[in-house]
Amino acid sequence: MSEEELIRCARLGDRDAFAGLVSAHEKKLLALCWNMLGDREEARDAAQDALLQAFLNLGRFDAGRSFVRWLLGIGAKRCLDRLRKRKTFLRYFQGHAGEWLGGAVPGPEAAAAGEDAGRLLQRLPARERAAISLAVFEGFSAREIAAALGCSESTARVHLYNARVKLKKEVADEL
Amino acid sequence: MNCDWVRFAYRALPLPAWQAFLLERHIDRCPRCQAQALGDAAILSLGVTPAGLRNEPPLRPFNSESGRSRGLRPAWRYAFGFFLAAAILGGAFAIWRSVPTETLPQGIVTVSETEDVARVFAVLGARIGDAPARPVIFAPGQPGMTIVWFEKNQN
Repeated sequence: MSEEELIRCARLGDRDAFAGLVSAHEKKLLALCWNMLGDREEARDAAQDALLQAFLNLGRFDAGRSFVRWLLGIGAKRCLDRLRKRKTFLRYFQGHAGEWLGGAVPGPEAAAAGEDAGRLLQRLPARERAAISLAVFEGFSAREIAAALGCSESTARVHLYNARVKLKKEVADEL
Repeated sequence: MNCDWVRFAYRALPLPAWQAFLLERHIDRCPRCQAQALGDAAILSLGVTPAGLRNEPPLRPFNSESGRSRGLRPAWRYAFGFFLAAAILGGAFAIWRSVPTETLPQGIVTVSETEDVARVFAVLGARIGDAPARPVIFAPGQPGMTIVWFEKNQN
């Protein structure tokens, strides 16, 4: 079955068709989530969320667009949501952990750097991380990043450039 | 053009579109500005690529059973709900219709009183609907009160 046919069947509620549709792209989605979140389990959760969101909103998908780009855009938004919640939680946790634990509290960097893969990427602000992940790992243009992140094209370009400059510094500091 | 100024201006949003375009052109082509930023190949080595996830177990879009959707489509769900509600109402109506309506007991009660010593009465007969009924008399012990009611014969 072609991608168009799979999309048509999935829109009618056929889960097999949807599974077939996303099976070719799920590794890309998972890699994007992993690069943005820096943690395998959270990345898998976010990717599952994104797949469910995509299934529920398949009616809104514009058939003229690339399905994988649309799916990755949903994944990026889910990851940004999670990062926002994580930031809120960490802020609250750090404010109260002293009372709860009565000891040393790990900083946000320590909490974010769950695994070595993407460790330097995790030091970037969320939107810059999203922009660089979409651009470099998935080949998104600035316009596509802007559409995925809901910002202007020039903002997306600035995010990209800032991320590249910061990563250059991080890499130099590591060496 | 001064590269430091360009980079500062580029990050200082918002800029008019034509200025942003000129600054982007500069950054894209200037070796000094490019040297400040990390290239694609180096960035790729910092993160996870789809090729590196070959051994990852597949995602499960739906945690429930695989296969064609077992769920009903929304229009059918509404229709199913409507027919279910109609069946419940119909059943309730049928049960209500099958229960015979209560008829008031009919009978003759005569009460004869003698002075103020005692009040004596007798139930000569009673019927509920077309069937004879059984009278039950209950004196709760409260002065001036006697309760009489009629029951269907349980034959």
